[in-house]
Amino acid sequence: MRDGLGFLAEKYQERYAAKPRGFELYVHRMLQGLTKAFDPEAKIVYVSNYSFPAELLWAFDVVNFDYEIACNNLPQAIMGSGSELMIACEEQGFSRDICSFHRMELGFSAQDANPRGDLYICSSYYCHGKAKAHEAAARREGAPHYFFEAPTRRTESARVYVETQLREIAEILERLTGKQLDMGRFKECIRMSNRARANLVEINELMKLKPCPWEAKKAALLALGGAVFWGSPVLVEVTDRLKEEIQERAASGATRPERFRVLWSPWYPVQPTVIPAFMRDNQISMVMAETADIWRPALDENHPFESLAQMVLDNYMLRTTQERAERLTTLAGEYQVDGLVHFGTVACYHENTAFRVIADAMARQGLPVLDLDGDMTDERNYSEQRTTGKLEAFLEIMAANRSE
Amino acid sequence: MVSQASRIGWFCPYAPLEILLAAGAVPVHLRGEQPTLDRTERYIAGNTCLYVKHLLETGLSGQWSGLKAVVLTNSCDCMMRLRDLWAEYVDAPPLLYLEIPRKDSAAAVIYFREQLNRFVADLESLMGRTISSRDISAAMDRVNSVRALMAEVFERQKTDPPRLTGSELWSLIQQSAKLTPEEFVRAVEARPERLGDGPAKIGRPRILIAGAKSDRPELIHLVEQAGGAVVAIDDCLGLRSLEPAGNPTGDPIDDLARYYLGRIGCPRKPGGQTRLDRLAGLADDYRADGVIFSHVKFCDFNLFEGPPLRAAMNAKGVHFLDLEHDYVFSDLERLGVRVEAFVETLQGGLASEKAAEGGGS
Repeated sequence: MRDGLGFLAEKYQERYAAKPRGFELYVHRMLQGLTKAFDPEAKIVYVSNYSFPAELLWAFDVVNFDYEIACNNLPQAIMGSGSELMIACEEQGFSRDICSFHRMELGFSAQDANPRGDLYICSSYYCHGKAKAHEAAARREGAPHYFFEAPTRRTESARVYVETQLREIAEILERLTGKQLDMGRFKECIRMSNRARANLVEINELMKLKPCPWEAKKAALLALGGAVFWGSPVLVEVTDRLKEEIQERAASGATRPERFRVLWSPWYPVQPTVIPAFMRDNQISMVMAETADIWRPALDENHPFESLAQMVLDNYMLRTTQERAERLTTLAGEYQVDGLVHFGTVACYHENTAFRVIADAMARQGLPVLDLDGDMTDERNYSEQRTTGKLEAFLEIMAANRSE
Repeated sequence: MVSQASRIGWFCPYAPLEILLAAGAVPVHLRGEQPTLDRTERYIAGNTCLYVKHLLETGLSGQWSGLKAVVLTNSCDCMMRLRDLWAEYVDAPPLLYLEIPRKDSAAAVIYFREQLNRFVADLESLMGRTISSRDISAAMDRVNSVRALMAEVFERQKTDPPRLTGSELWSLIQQSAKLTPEEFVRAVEARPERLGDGPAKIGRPRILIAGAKSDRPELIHLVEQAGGAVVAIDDCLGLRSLEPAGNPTGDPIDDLARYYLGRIGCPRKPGGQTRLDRLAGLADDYRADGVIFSHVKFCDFNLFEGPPLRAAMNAKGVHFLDLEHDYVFSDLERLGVRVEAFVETLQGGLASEKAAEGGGS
């Protein structure tokens, strides 16, 4: 993994130097961060950032290592060798029915290719499998793990439950780093988080323009992978730059031609697929992604723990499918889309069970939904013909709706 | 005479039967067994827990519409989403939802107390009556009497030979979930042989069944037909649910919160090493020659737990069979071949031991 990340880091450094834009800056910074996890002096904390308040980690000198981003999005999957890691995991006795994200983590771990973890924070949020995979990896490494549980009900005792856990994690981090939590620095992280949030709210507002001045695919990737930077100056710098670029593009009219607008829910495949080319060729804009929706409230820097705990409870991934569907229909209206693409990954039980509720809610708004089932990382579960066939059928439906 | 209208269904043994009984309801353990999953295929994609699919299929069929309600918990990802699908597409019965934390910290207990109180309020509204602390305490005594009786049954299984056959043990577990506490205690006391005073079979490999809930007896039958003896069942309704409750403190909701969060056997809880140690301890206690780890296909929790459990059992010299099924055991022939081979391996091991003992005497 180290070599793969190093190779990509160099490649993106060159790319960023040639094209110093916001998204390239984000990828460049992320690769730098992931590569740092192999520094023998660094303290490495494994965590899933889209479901954990990274602000707390940025307040300490630790490397925030998100295995899903490192294992799946960057080195192996993009180079088309994700399946090899799956097989390495399956050879350890783990079933192919386990989500490919988690098999990939365990596959890397089986090959001793992951950076060592000093602490594994297993969060319960959206996916129980993630917590199980983290726990299995931690056990294999002989490293401590902390199970971070986020209740689904937004009550005062739920907030206290989360806040208590965040404070416990802070104590663990103090022991790990040998440094006390610097409240001044913590507050600064909260300020950074709020600035980035404000930028992203503005960017999302700009995405409502016709034609859409940016790609929600990139917004989704930034939302998932960039979550590692909540609370850091990096996300502020990236979103400052992105906002400026998108504003310029909207003002100059230098946007792609747009015949159809779609909303995307929730995941986007990181392996090479026909999807981007098909959308470009048929002038379909992905104008918003569920994952890029800014659900998090502005944080209170004077009460950072309380505020982060409340934010944890506000995470949309904790809600019922009905609440998700309601939010998606609202977004569909705000972004004036022609349809919704739902992309799940084979073993994602949430998405396997959510599709019908979401599709029925969208149907009540007169909008078609494409269920583009596939796999985000295991190439063995991808079929170009099947994907193309589904996209063509969806395009026809959107076109027919338009002509009506 | 129990009114049909007061029956409330439950699936996962984290459903607090004590509160249902305190409300005057009759808790009914529900098994979803449908010949096909035609309706459900519209709502749930392929690679998803087959147990949950059968539950939804049965709900959609209307077979349970006469119940007052069903209790659903956030046992796993699929059960949480079953709650959403049920609320959206199943006309009756309505849902009673209870969120159960997976940790047992002081803050988790406080949160769970709040959820239990909410559950009590929902139930009061549904049943049209108030539920007092005294009602709950009395119900706790009733449920604990079942747990105590079952604990006694399991204790007797540790002998060699075990006192009950696997089929008898499985039936008793099912009855403990199906009958009211009083009916269950009466049924057992009226037939003392059910506690294992009957003849026992000797010389069979001792097998511990672990894993997810076995709502059907096929696996037990396969083991017995192959010549094995099921000595204990450590599944959702079996040993895991029989962990003894602590002494009452006078606050029954607090006692219940601590009791349910303190149960360690379920793989939904963090602490895989604890469960490895626990299963290793059970294998010792029941002198198991082999462990069959049985679970429904696409059960994420068990898919993650299987490989480390196998390694732990093998390290102890206990044979381990990871047996995935489709909940209704439609692939009985295939499973039978695997179980037969497993039991034969154990028999071979026992024969070798006996020969070695004979050679040394």
